Amino acid sequence: VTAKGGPPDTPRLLTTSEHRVEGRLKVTGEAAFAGDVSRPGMLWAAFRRSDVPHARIVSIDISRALNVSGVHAVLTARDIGSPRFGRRLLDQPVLAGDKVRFVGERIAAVAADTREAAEEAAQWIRVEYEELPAVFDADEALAPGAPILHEDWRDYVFLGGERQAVPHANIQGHRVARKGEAELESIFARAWRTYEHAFTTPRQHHGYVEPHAALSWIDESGLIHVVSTNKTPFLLRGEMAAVTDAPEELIDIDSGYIGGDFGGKGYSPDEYICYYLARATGRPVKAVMSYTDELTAASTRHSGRIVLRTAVDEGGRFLAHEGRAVFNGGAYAAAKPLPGLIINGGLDALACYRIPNVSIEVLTVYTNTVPAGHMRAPGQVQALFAGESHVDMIARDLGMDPIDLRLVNILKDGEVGPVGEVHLEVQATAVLDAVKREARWAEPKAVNRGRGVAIGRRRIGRGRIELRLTLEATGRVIVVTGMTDQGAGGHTLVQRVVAAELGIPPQMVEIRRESTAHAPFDPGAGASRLAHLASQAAVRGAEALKERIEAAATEQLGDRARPAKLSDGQLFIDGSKRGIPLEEAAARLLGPAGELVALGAFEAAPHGVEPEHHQFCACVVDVTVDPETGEVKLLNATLAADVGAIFNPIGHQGQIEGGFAFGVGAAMMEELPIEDGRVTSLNLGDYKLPTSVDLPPLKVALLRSREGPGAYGAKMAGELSNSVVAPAIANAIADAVDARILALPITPERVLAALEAGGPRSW
Amino acid sequence: VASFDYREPESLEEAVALLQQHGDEAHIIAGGTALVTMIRQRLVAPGVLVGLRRIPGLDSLEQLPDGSVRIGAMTKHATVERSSLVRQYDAAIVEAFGSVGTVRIRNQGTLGGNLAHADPAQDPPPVLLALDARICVRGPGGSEEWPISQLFRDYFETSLGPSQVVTAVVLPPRPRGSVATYLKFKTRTHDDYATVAVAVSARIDEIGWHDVRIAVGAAGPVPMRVAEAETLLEGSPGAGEAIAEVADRVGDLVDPITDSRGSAAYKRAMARVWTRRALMRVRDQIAAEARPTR
Repeated sequence: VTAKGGPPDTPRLLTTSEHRVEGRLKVTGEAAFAGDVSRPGMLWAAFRRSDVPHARIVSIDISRALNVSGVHAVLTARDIGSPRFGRRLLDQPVLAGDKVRFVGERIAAVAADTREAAEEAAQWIRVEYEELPAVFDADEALAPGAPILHEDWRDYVFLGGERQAVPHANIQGHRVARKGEAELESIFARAWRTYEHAFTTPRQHHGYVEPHAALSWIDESGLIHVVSTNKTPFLLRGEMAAVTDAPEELIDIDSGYIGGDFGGKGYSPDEYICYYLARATGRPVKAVMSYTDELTAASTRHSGRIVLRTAVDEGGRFLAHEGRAVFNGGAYAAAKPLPGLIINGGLDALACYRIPNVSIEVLTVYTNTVPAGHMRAPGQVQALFAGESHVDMIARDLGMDPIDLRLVNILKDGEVGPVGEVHLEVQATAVLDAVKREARWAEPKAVNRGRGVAIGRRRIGRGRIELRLTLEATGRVIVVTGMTDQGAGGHTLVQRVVAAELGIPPQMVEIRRESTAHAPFDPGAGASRLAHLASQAAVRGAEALKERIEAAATEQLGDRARPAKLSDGQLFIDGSKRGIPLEEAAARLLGPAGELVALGAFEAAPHGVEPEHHQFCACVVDVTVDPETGEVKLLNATLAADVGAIFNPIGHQGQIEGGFAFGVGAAMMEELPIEDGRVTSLNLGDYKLPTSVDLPPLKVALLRSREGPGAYGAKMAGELSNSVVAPAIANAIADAVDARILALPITPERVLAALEAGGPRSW
Repeated sequence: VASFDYREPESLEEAVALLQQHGDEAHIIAGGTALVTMIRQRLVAPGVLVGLRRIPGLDSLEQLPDGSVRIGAMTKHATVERSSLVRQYDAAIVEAFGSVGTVRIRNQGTLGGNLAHADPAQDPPPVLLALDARICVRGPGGSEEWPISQLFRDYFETSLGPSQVVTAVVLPPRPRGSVATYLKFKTRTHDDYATVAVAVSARIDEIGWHDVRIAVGAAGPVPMRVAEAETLLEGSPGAGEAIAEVADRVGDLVDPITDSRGSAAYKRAMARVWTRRALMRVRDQIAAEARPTR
């Protein structure tokens, strides 16, 4: 890893390797995850799930389930008032009532003394179906005469404003983004060359180690307790309030350590039913998904079919671009948190480039399959595979070097992106130059070896966050936060920034994560917002606390004419040149209240309101292709990434490198196969994820920018590197053997078929 | 996981008696790497598990006076993989056992469990087939010894009777000059099952190929010998073209299914490619060994 450039004003502490706040607890196994939590008298939940993809439920017979020993309750939709839940659109039934819409959908729930009894009872529940025609493919769901999944879609509750109108009952979300001329056909007609290519990408599962878990009980005061794997507990609290009609003040969500998220832990299907079962039985009720449940009935990455069309002039300049991305959203939109109910990354196929005339349409579509939601760089993984393959195909056809064509069109400072976004301090050219240099782009290659490049651009997350800082008599600073740590290091980041700002050692700052009833607001990790928002809130909180400390020191120990100063953890009172360490003075500062409290709050306006900093990341991969088997070996890889200030150097490296590994999975092997609406990979032995032995040597060049929206100019890292990997590999294969891969994952069989098809002449 | 009884007999007689007593309810557990997953996924729901780990002698690995090697059924994959006796016998076995799953699986899974599980994509069976191994079985009727090819019936189905236990595998004395190889083709991760796997054993003299045994894994309901293809090579000088012909024949004879590792057609094509590569590897290895060393 090499880091170059950037401002020198990051506190020294942040340049040293971090100790994870929760590291010891996790390494020793002491850290309690939601699935580890038990309550006295606790019952276990299990579900009767749908066996069919689309049907009217004629009857549900629970009589035999009720007779299983240890069973306390069996609930169906009718028993709980047929509620629906979702992160934005409440379209998913907690338990299916009149209809089922995917195989694996929850129809009835059992609470029993043991998990085994609950599972056994669930098996005895008989469901009579009247099967309906089902649709599994997104394009087919939009065709005339396609079965409609949600007849009553107009009645669904939408959280946070008004739902945007959709042109078809099977559409979840729909967005058209335009720039420049309204009419593009004449530009295409006049262009030097026009190119059109179609790509497909599969469903994927996030592959986190910890499955979803939920535990709920209602205490004597009527407070609803929910222990959850949800990474956005404050949002879940609002969603649960909307679904259950309980006021938010009576719901307390406690999300502790989260064993991996990758975008999948914002969606919580079982918390609701645990609450309803707890209400029905008067006991705490817990549900833990099996991995089969995870793969068949949690949420997935959207599969996509993306068609791109671009007009270029003689110099390779992009004149006009048209894109259409149709994403398979599954049976429910409940897992999607954004107001448009689309995955915005779907707009990003050519987001790195200056294109005067653009029209991009993105759709998410209902089908009778497992719901799709957010997964690390949602939409972008799909769109960039298409976009960066498309650009490479254009370069090869024009006889241009792929990096040169990119440099001709790449965005510059202050330029406006394809969908109207203004870019500040664009490092795209520097990133391409760096990856070209570090990957030895021009070095000759042996037979069947190839080198491919891809570049991506990602936004930095925004929103609101609060931290509460308290100085204790011991000099320790307690930071109360509602932030869940899904493994990305958010707690450590806050600890280190607060410590750096106050000039005290990190171990003097204690991060205390609290449930929603006790913590100030937190938006949850996701959309790469955490480093940006949490670092700013930590700086503000530390500044506010410092002011309180200085005021208290002046008041209690000093003289108002010469205000006390806190610097590097030392208090300077009465203009004295000799400082008193904060921990020695703290007890005397607290006064009658016994504490000094400050709030660190920060809010960044939503995307699109003001010009923004974006991040660019480029990847070069060298491959060798076995022309007899289609097997692709990744020989080595290089990433050049545009980064801001780094708070946790090891964690940051982990995000960049982990993103690469995640990208290799998407590129080479991950596909959640669905046949006739049925997921056929039922465990992680079938659904393969890459491990370290599957990865090539990776070189990372970090380019430090001058600016960024976070503290000290911080940007993000979590969703920076994963989307560029698949197109870089596909482009390397084309370079090696003149075979073009238009679908992910890049299996040897696909490569062999592309080889036999005779190269990339698909247009 | 539904509850079950767990019994640990201290002798084979006791094990067989337990199996007879509990009939269909009973299931043998060796390393448990496959069975426990199947129980968790509710594919099997045994009432009684009969653990074999306390039966003395089932994990022995020894050379018999006639030069054959006997490997006890409870021997872990990792033990086979690291055994110098096995390596001396034929390094292809090391390759096959070293290819099973991950190191964690190899440290827990056993030879006998692997064979009785009868997963056609497992690594040890093709190489044991190519080496003409025999298996020792103990049941109510006493001890029996079968050619290993007789064991596999169908997907996850063996010829073992309900109360029969695999006790050992015997590798026959190796004819001088014989060379074997095992090639596992994986299309996804390093720790995946084979998309197709080929084991070959043969020797070559001035006349040509002899004792040709070709076995293919993951390309049909059982790990299989392809005798029809073997005979094409037997006694022939086996130049490149002959090898290609044999490999093509193997592609015709296998019967793979489409799954997440590839389509049936692709696996058939890969059976051809990897058979050819395995045969050429054996040929090259024999040629290298024949070359005088200074």
